[in-house]
Amino acid sequence: MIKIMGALFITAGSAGAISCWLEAEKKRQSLIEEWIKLFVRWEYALKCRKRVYDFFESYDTDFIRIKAFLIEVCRRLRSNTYPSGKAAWNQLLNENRSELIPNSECYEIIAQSAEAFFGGSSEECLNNIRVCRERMEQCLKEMREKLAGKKRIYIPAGMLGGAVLIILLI
Amino acid sequence: MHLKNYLPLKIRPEIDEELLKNAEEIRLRAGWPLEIIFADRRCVRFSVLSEADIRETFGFLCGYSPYAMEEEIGRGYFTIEGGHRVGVSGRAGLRQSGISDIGALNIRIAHEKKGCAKEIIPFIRCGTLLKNTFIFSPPGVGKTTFLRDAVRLLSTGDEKNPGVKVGVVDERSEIAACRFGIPQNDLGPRTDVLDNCPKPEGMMMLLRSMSPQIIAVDELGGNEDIKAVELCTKSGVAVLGTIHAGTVLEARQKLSLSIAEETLQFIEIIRQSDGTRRIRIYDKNNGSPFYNSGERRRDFLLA
Repeated sequence: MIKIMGALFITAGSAGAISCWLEAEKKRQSLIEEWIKLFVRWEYALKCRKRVYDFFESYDTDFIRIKAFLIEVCRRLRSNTYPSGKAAWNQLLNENRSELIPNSECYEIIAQSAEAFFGGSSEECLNNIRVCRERMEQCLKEMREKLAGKKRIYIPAGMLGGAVLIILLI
Repeated sequence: MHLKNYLPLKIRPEIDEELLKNAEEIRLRAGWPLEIIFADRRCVRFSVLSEADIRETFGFLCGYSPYAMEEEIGRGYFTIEGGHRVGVSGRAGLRQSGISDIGALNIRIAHEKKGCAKEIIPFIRCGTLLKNTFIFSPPGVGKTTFLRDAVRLLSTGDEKNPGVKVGVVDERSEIAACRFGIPQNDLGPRTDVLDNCPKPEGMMMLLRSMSPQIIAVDELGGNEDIKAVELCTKSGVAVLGTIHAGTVLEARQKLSLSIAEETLQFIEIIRQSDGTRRIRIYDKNNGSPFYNSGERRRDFLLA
């Protein structure tokens, strides 16, 4: 009976670990998707000549951390104490790096997106945001491909490891 | 937001907020001291500004969103919260995107001076008749301030006369200082504002949609504006407008309206050397005023 219970625990543990890992990967992907969504909406807002304050304040998202980040950027900008919008954006991005950014490549893209939010002309902003969106999409694509590859290895390996452990213990 | 918060960070500790309340203009030029100019032409100077200070201030003024002001900057100015107008000069690249390298800024402070237009209201509204009235003066004398208060008074009405429906076409957001379409300045309870809309189109839109009794517009001048004014007056709607002109003849020439003289009048605002304003009102086409405010108007001076 104890052996059966132990086997069940090991199986459940292996499945749980794999599922947690998958869940974390999915979260990272959806975070990237959320940034892409922000970039797409900014492209539209730029065409409407919306000010960066108004866009950030009215931006609607289920990602509370991104929403809070944008509101804080607005608050700091409205204080008119930063020499440029880029400086405020990058400072806040660094403060919230672990919560908002899935990996170093994405960090570079999001930091660069400041040029698109606070650029000198609409043409410059539009070109920059398009580059950022395309790079982010590429990043997401690569992440998905890597995840599919990892899934093919990690899931069978995890389950097999669990089975081996059960056999060894029995 | 207080005006002080738009100025360069290094200058802010030097400036007293009370000082700005009485100011008419703030001038910033790279390589020169910041200047605050008052109604009586008194000028107070502060530290010398660098190019970086001008860039920084420009960022503050346009809400870190210069792209959103591209069209306006192409025309040489843009309007900020509160209806203050910011004039821009520097290296002009008109075919691309207006002024690219900004060397100087001039903030013209909008004032909401309630009651300053009280004197002219009986001339605009004579019983049930509403006269087409055009306020003129050289730049910076207070046409928009007068217009804003006239709109408020006409819209509010008084014990004898009920308020009238006023439509305002606020092309540069200077009259109403709208934020998200809602006026931040007091324009009275019967005023509808069309913000950020070209004057000719806006006048027609208001005429068709809001059934105004008076349409108020700032800075008339273009041929399209004049055509729209004529159309409004011929549709039974009075027009209250402002125009840049030094004399009544210039104002008449600029407008060259083909409407009945009896329904037309011009109001001249004159700045005195001490900053006070006087008013002259003209109706007939003879170049001499039928009304000349004797006393100097101190309500323009904030002291």
